[in-house]
Amino acid sequence: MLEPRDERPWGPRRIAGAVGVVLLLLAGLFAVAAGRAAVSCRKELHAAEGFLASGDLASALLAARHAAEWYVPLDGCSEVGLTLLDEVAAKADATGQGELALVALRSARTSIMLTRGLYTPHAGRLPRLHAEIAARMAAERRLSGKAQPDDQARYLAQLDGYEARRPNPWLALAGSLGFVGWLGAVAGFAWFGLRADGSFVWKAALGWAGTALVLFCLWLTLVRYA
Amino acid sequence: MPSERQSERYETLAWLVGPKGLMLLLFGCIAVVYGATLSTEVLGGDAGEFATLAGGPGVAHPPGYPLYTMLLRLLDFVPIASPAARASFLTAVIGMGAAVGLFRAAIAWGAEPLAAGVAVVIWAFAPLTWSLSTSPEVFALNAALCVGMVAVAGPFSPHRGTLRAGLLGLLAGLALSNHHSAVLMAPIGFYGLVVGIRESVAPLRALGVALGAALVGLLPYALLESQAANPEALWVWGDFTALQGLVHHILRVDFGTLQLGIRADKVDAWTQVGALTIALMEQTHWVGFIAFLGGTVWLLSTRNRFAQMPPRLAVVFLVVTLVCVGPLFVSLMNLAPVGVAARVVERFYLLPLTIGSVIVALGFEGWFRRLELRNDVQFSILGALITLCAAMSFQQVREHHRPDVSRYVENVLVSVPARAVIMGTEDHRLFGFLYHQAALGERADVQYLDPTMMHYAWYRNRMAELTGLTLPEPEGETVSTVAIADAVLSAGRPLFVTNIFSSGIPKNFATYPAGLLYRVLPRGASPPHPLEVERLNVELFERYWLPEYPAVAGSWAGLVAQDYVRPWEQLASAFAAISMGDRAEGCRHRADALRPTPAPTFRRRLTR
Repeated sequence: MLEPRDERPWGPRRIAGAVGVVLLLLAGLFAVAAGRAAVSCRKELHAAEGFLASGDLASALLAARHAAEWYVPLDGCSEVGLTLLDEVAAKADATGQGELALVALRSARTSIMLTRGLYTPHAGRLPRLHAEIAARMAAERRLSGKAQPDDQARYLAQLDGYEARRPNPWLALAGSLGFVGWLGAVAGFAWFGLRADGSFVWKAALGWAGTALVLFCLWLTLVRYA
Repeated sequence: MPSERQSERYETLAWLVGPKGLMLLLFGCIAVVYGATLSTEVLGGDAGEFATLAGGPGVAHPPGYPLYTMLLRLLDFVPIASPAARASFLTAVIGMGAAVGLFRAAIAWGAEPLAAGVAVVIWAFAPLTWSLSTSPEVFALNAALCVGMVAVAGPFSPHRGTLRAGLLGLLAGLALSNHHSAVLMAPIGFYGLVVGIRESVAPLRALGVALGAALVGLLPYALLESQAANPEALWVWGDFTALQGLVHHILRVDFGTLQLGIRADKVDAWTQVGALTIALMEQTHWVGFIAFLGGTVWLLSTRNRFAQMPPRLAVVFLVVTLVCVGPLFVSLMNLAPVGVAARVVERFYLLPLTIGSVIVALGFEGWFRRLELRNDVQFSILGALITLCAAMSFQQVREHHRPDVSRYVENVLVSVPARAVIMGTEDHRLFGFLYHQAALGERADVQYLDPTMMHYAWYRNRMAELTGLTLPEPEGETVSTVAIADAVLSAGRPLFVTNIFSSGIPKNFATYPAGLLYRVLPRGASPPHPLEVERLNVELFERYWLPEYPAVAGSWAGLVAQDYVRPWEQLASAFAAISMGDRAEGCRHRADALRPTPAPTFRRRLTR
């Protein structure tokens, strides 16, 4: 029989070491991704400020929107992007470009919506944005001559509905952890519940199998209702 | 004599250039490069659907890819950037896992760390691997699980007996929970299983453990029904109200169980195999391909020339597996590798590229064993190779990650009036609008409707609920786009189409180009004069995001670029027809500036 290349047993120390290396690599990957988000945000912000100063509102809107999308916790850059979008909307209104102002407000809303996680960054801005967007959409309908009395309320309900509609993030997180735990318990069963000759280490095997079953049921239940 | 401090320094240096330092350099560089080049936007193909499912519960197109979609949800809770960026981040983690799996597989088949590292570099920085590992797609996970099977089945694997059989069963089950193409790994899977059973003192128990583990690995399919039942689901492809629906979905009945795409091109097997071979040469920058050929010859012709050679029977099973996941699989594909369909087909090349990379490692091993390189030389070789491969592939990855599809959807959504209905076809539009509307909540008042999807009752019900309209049922195999247009227009809603997908609408309704769309007017209405249409388009294009440099034809961005060209070409024809030559010329200039550039010559030859 050919000898294995690596005969070190998978004891607690080796498992801890492997987990440590994985976490280190994940942290490195996350740090690079977060760094990239922060750098990209500043680059877009710089461009947006330039466009705004030169009066090119359409380009400023686009750059400010992208800056607002690059949200990283504890980094205030994306908030400056949102403020610039407000500024673009105000300048567009002042120069009679109502449609562009609506686009700027919608862009601010989208930038907030797409960074949602366990919490919604800059959530305090949403009620004002929703109210303004709904009012402008209703006004647009009035101009087209197809207005209905409840237009504004209906649009506002649609916009607010997305926040209410979202799944419960904490339950969903618990479900996801159940999934990861299930995979880990199955691996634990394979490593600690089995001897090389195929016989079971009964105590460990039952423990890991039971854990896997509980976590699997937890995962399926939570993803259904989360 | 060196001082104590110098000795410590030498020890640190020796550790850095030793096997552990080599791995740190390798996987550290992959982490940094993947992290810095993540796709943050919705791309073409299925990427939009997976990015959507990173933002909430739901079920993807058949077979549902439950393992990947569940993993996507793990980062749903991290408030950083967008769901698309989070999905790409998760895929990059998986891509790194696949790189580790490939490294271990190469070691388990007899390669030393340097040869394994070189193969991993060529694989990880191949444009295909890099692109699919940094954007929301299932193929990196497929590669990770399948190469994991190769690692466990390897002759020098540390996992023996029942553990080997059980791990193979679990990996096979999980791989099938992600992508059906994993079934093509059967030769090496069965080889490893038989070896594991023979190594075990209780063969029947080992077989039982393997089967049980495979069933456990298939359990994520139970997720589909559970996700579909979630009232907050963003997108559910299929009907899961009965068990039959789940079976229908898992078997991919909507596409044809053994078919790749919904469309059936007439393409011969040799064209597909030729396209695969040329693509693999390109992807590995020829070096990997030459090492692969060298490795195959070395493994099959040499016996016991060096220590740590895998047995010939094992090599035969590995090569048969490679033939199954590569030439055999692609020869059955029903999409011609031309234009954007080539982008769809080439994603399936990642699996043969991954499995072939184990042989590439052994090819390098054959050379390196003759050279006996010092540790610092090994370290330098690897560092230089990473730089070279990354530099050679970067441009292709950048082109792949262009934001054009996402910007196209944004341009459309910001330009349509309230309560508009947009009809269109093609995956990049269906999933692009899905991402922007369902995951990001943009323009809830606007609905995008794909008439080709109206064949499915679940989609008709979804659209009827979203639009609040009574939409027509299909008559046999035909969906009447005219009847859908009548239903939308009679409700007083503005109607647009993204492209001309049938002759019904242009024959029955007046249309005119409105930016990236066609405006469809109610029956009897006349289109505006070309001068008015030109004014409208100039206004719209002033508001649009436009690409900084032209896209390459045959890519998703190239396909989208055609939509920017189209209104100006049509206006040019309209002006020419009414003898307004100057205007026509101006429109032609605008169209030319937006036209995609031809694909590189080598690829053009390939696609022909």
